[in-house]
Amino acid sequence: MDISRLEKLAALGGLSLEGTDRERLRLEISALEALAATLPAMEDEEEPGPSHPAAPLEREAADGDRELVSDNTPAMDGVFFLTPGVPHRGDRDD
Amino acid sequence: MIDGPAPTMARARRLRQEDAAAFQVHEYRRLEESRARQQALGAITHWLPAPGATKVPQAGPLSGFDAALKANIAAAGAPTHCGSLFLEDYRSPFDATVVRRLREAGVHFSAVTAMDEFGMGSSSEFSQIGRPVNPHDPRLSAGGSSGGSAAAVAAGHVYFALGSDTGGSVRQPAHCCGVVGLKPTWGRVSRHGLVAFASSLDTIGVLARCVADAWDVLRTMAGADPLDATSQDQPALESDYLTEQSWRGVVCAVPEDLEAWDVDHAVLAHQKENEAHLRSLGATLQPVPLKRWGDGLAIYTVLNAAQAASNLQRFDGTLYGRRGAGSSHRESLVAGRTAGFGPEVQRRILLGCHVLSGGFRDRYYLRARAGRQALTENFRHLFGGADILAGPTAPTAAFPLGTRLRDPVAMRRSDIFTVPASLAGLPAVSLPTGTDPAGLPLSLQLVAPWWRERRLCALAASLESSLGKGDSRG
Amino acid sequence: MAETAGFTVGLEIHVRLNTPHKIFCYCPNRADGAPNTHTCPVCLGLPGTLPVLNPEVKEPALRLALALGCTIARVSEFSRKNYFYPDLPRNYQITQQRWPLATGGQLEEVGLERIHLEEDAGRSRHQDGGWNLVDLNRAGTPLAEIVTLPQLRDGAGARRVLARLRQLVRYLGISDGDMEKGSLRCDANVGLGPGHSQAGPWVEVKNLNSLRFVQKAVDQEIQRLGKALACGQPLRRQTRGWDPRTGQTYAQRLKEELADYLYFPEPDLPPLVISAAAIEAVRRNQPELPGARQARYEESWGLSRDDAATLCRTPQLADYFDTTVQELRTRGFREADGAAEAARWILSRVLAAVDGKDESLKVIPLQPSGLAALLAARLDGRRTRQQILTIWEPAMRGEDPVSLVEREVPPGPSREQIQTLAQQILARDAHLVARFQAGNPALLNHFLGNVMQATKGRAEPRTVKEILLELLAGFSP
Repeated sequence: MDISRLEKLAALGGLSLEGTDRERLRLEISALEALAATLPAMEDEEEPGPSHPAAPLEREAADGDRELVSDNTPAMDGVFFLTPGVPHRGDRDD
Repeated sequence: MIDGPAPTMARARRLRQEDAAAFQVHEYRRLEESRARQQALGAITHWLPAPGATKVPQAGPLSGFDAALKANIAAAGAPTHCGSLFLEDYRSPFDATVVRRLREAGVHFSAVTAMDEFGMGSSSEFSQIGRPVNPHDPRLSAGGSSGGSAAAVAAGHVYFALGSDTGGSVRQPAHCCGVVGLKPTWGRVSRHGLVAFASSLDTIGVLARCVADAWDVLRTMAGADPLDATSQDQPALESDYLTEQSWRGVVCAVPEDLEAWDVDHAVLAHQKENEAHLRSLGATLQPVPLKRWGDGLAIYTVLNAAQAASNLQRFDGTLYGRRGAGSSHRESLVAGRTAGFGPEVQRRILLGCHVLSGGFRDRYYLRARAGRQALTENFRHLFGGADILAGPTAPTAAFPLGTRLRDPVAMRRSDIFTVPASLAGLPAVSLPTGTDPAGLPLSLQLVAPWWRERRLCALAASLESSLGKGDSRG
Repeated sequence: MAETAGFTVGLEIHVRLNTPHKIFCYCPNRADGAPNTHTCPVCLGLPGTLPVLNPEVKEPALRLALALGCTIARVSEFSRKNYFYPDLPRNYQITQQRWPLATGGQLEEVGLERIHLEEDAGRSRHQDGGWNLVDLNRAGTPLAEIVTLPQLRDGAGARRVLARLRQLVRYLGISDGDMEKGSLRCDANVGLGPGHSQAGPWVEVKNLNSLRFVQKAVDQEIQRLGKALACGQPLRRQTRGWDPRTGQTYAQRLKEELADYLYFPEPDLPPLVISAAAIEAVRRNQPELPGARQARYEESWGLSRDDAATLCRTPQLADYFDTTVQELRTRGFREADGAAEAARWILSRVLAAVDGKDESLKVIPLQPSGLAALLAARLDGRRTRQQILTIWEPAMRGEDPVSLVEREVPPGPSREQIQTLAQQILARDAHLVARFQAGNPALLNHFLGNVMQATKGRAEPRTVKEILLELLAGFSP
C-alpha cells in the first residue's frame, strides 16, 4: 500500500497523517493487508443477497415482520439470523 | 472470619445468610483492601457512587452485589469513555438495557473498568485511560480488551463484571486472569447501550468467579429488547437455577491437530490433561480438524475493521466528545479524531476504509463474508455430530506487557481460538482449569451450539466442580 | 462534425412519508418545531444506540411501489452509506443500496429503476460569518427514494413526471407532496445518451424544490452541456446547486471521481421481509389512483379531458367534486347531469375561492352538501343561472343554502305551467309553427321569447327550449 493511498484512506476516515510515522503505518497496514489477502477466492464472485439463488427461504409469518430468515442466509454479514430447528445432536436433551 | 480468595456470589449468599453482620464487616474490609490495591492493578478507572439507601433490596440471587462495568457499556451519568481520550469526558444520558435489568435485580455497579480503546486489542495496552495489569503478576497483561473487568473480578474488587466480546475480548482476559468468561450467542443479550465496535460480532459477556455466578448474570440480562432489532427470545433461555449436567455420554469435540498451531508447550500439555479428565468423567472425545479456523483471523480482521471504521464515524466532536481546533467543521473533526484516537484505533479505521473501498471490496470484504459463511457451515456440521467443543482458550498463558505492541499480527495471535466462535455467533465460556509451571492460569474453552447457553453452563459447572473449583450450590 | 445524440435526463426524487414517527426511532415525524426538540439518543446516534425499523413505514412504501407498478422484493436489505457531514448524526446514512424494496415500474413517460427506503439527514442553515446551524429534527425521518431511468429528454418532461408523482403521493395519502416544505425533493441528472461517444451522466443538480425550478434547471444544464460539446470543451462530472434568487445553477463541486461511500450491509437491522399477505392487503385497499379517477369522469360522466384533469388535480378537489355529485344523486338527479352541473360551478367559482390551496376545500363554509342544495335548484329546471348567482356569495360565506334558495330565489314556473303556456302560444301562432316545421329553425327563438315574456322572464330558458322542441316535434294543428 503506497503513501498516496494511505492519504486517501485518511481522508475517508476523517483522520490526519500529519506527525505520524507514515512509513511505519504503511508497514503495519500492509502486514494486516497481507493477512487479509490469505483469504481463499470465492467460487462465485458475485455478491450474495436476498435475491441470490442461495437466498433465504422465506418464512410466512403472521406479520411478515422480523421473521427469522432461514439459516441459508448467504453471508449477509452482520445480518445473522439463526433459526431454531437447525438439526444437531443437542435437540434430544437439555 | 473469611480469608483467602474473594468469594463467589453463591458463597457470599450463604455467608450472608449465616451471619449477616459479620459478613457486612468482612465485605467492608475486603473492599477497602481492594481499593488500596487497585492503584497498582489499574483495573478500575472510576468508582461510581453508592446507591441511595432507599431501594428495597430485591430477593433475587444478584441482589446487593457489587459489579463493574466495562467502559464501553452505558450507564446514565457514569463515564462511558471506551478507553479513549476522545470520550474522556462523555457521560451517557441513558442506561444500557443490561444495566437497567441488572439494577432492577438489585445489582450495584460500583466501578468502571479499563479496556483496550473501543475494544481493539488483546492486552488492554491500547487503553488510553487506565492500564490494567494481571493480578497474578503485574509484569503480565490482564488480556484484552476487557482486561480491566477480568482483573477486577480476579482481584476481588467486585463480584462480577460486564465485558464485551467481539473476537474473544471476554474469554481471553478471563483466561489470562484465571476467572470465568462467558460469551452468549449473538442476539441473546441486547446490545442497546454497548458502544458499537463490530456490530455483527459484538456481544456483552460476563466475567465472574464461578460458572453459576456467570449464569445468574446472563439469565437476568438476557432476552429480546425492542431497542435492539437483532436481539431475540427464540429459542428461549431456560432460565432457572443452574443445575450441573453430567459429562457421561456427552460427545465432546476436541481439536485434532493442535500441534500444527503455534501453541505453547504448557498449553498443549494442559489440553491433554483436560481431555483425560473429561474422559474420566465419562465423555466421549471426538477429535476434529479445526477446518477453516486458520482463515478465522483474516476474516475477522477484515470484517471488524470494516464495521469499526463505520461505527466510529459518528465521533466528530459535534454533540459530544473531543473537539479539535479548526477553521471548518472538517478540520476540527479531523483534528479531534486524530488527537483523540490512539494508534491502534487509527490503524483499524484506515484498514476498514481500505477493505470497503471501491476496487478492493471484492478482494477483501466480500471474501471475508463468504469465509464467514463457510466457517459457520463447518460448525453446523461439527455440532451435527458433537454436543460441545472443548479446546484451549488461547495459545499461550498471559504474556508480558510490552512484548506485542510493535506487532499487530502477533497481538492478534491470542485470538486464534476465540475468533471462530465469534464469527459463527456461538456461545462459549472460558473456564480456569489449572496453571502452567510458572503458576499462571490456564483454561479450557467450551463452545456450544447456538442458543445452548444452558447446556454450556451446566457442563462447565460440573467440570468446575469436578476440579474442586467454583462453589457447589449446596 | 457535431455529434447527434440526445440528452438524457434522470431524476432522483425523495418523498418524505407522513408516518407519525421517524423510521428508526419513535420521535415524532414533524418538519416543524423548535430546533432539536424532536430527537432522542437513537436519531442523535449517541454511542450505544441502535436503529430499529418502525413498521409504520411499510404500508406507505408498498402503496407507492404498487401504484407505480414496481416489482416488490420480498426480502430487501438495509445498508450504510458512510460520509462525514454535520447534519448526519452517525456520519453514515442508513439506506438500501444493494437490495432495494422495489425495482422497475413506470411513472408517466419514464421507466423507474428502483424505490427504496432511507432516513433523512437533519437540516443545515449556513449563516453569514461561516457558521452552520444544524437542526436534527429532520434526522431520521422516513424517505422513499425513487430513481428513474435516464429516459427524459428535457425540462418539460421532468416537470410532467414530477407533477404526476406529486399528485400520486397525495392520492395515496402517503405524503403532502409539498415541495416548498421539502416533503418532495428532486435531484436531476443530465447527461448524454448511449449513442454518444461520451455517454453517461455528467451533471447532477441537487435539491430542486419546485416544479418550475426543476424545469428551468434541467433546460439550463442541457444548454450548458450542449455548448460545451459544441466548443469541444472536455466534459467534467460535476454537482450543481440551484439559486432561486438568480434562477441559475451554480457549481458546487467537481466529481473528479465518484465519491466512495464504503457501502456495506447494515448489521443492526434484520432483512426487511414483506409477506405476500401484506402486499395483498395493500393492493386490496389501494385508493383510486388519479389516472383511473380521471378516466371515470370522462367515460362515465362525459366530462371533457381538460375538465376531468383539473378536477383530479388533487384528491381534495376530486373528493369535493365526487361528493357533490353523490349528494345530487341522492336528491334524484342522474350522475351525468349532476357531474356536468357540479363541474361547471366548481371550476368557475369554487376554485377561485380556494386560490390554489385545495387542502382548504375541507374547511370552506360551502361544503358538498350545501353546494348540492344550490345546484339541485338549478337542475330541477326552475331557476336560472342568474338567480343562483345572486345567492352565491352568501352561500360561499356560510349562509344556509337551503334557506337562501327558499327565501331569495323563488322558483319559476313548473314544467307543467310552462307546457301549458307554450301550447297556448304555439296554438295562437300555428302558422308560424308550420313555417318552422317547413325548415325555419330560427323561429324557435321567437317562440322562446314569447314564452319568456309570458312568464315575465322567470322561466328557465333551457327548460323552455326543451319543452318547445318536444311540442314542436309533435305539433299538428
